[in-house]
Amino acid sequence: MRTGEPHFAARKRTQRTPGGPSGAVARGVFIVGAAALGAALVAASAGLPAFGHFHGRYGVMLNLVAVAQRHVTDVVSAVNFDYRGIDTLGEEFILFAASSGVVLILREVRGNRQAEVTAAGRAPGPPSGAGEPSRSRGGRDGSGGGDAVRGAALLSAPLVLAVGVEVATHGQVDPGGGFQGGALIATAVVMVYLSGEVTRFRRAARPGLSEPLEALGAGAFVVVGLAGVLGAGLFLANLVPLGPVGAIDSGGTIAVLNAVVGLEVAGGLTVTAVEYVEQSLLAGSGGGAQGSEGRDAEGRDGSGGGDAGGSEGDTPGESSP
Amino acid sequence: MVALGATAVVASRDPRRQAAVVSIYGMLLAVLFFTLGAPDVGLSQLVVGTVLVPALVVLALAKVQHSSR
Repeated sequence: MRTGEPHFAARKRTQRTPGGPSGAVARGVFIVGAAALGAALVAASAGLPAFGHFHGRYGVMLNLVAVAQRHVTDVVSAVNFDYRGIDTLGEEFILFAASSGVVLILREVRGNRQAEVTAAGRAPGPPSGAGEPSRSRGGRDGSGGGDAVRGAALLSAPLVLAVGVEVATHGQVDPGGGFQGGALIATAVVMVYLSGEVTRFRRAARPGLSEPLEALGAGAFVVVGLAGVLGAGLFLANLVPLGPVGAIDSGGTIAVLNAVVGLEVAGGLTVTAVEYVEQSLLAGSGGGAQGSEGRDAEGRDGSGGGDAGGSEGDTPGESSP
Repeated sequence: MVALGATAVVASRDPRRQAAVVSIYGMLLAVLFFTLGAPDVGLSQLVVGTVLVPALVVLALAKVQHSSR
C-alpha cells in the first residue's frame, strides 16, 4: 500500500500541468506508435492476395455445390443457415440475450421512476414549454422533430416495412435474409415513432406483440434444428422440399430459418428500441403513459416542454401555470 | 472516402455529432461493400451501421443527458 502512494501523487501532479513536458512526451510516444502501426498496416496489406483471388478452398467448393445441394442462389445464405447454421443459432441467441438484458435493466429503472412519480403526488398536467429554453437538443427526441422529419418518416415507414419483409423472405434467392430483413422491419417501427405518432408506435410495438414474436423466432430455430435430429439424425438437417432453384419456396429449411430469424430480429430490436424510447419519453414527460398524450398533442413544442418534465416530478409547483 | 469518413468520426468530439457522422460513415462503408461484390455484408452494414447503432447512441445520450441534469 505504501509503495502505491508516491505513484498516485505523481500522477496527480502530471494531471495538473496539462501542457507540461509530460504532454510532449505523450505526444512523442503517440507519434512513434502511430508511425509504427501505420507502417505495419501498409506492409501487411501489401501481402494480401489480389482482390477476387481468394485462396481458401471452401469458398470455391461451396460455390460449386451449394446451388445443387440446397437449390439456393445466394450462397451466403446457404452458409449462414445450413453449412454453418449452428453459428447463426448462437448469433441469434446473442441478440436474444442482449435484448433481454436491456429489457431487464431499463424496465426495472423505469418501474422505480414511475413509482417515484406517483408517490410524489402525480405529475402536474401538460408541461408548459414556454419557460424552458430549448437547449439545442434537437434529435434527442424524435417526436419533437420538425415537419420534414415527420413527413419523411411517415412516407418511408411503409416502404421500409415492405422492403424488410421482402428481404427477410427472399434470403434464399437474393442477397439479404432474416437478419437484415428483421432489422429493417424494426427500423420501420421506429420510423412510426419518428413521425410523431407515439400512440400508433406504442400500438405497433407493444411488448405483448413483439416479445412473443421474438421468443417464437428464437425457439423456432431450435425446433427446426431438433426436427432435423428426429427426422434425419442430424441437427438442422433439411426435411422440407427444396423447391425449384430461384423460386421463393426454394432452399427448404433455409427459407424457413430466414423467416424465423426475421421474426426474432424484428421482435428483439423492436423490444430494445421500445425500451430506449420509453426511457426518453419518461425522461421527457415525467409520468409514464399519460404524459405522452400531452406531448403528442403539443406537437413541436414537445421537445422544449418535455425537457422540463423530469424535474417537474420532483417540484410540482414550479412550472404549473 | 471511407478513410476520410473514419477520420471525420474520430475528429468530431461532440457525441451527438459523432452519431450523425458515424451514420454517414456507415453508409459509405456499405457502398464500398456493395461495389466490392458483397451485398449480404453491405445490407447488414447498412441496417446496423447506418441506422441501428446511431439510433441507439442518440437514445442512450438522451437518457444520459437527462439523468446528469
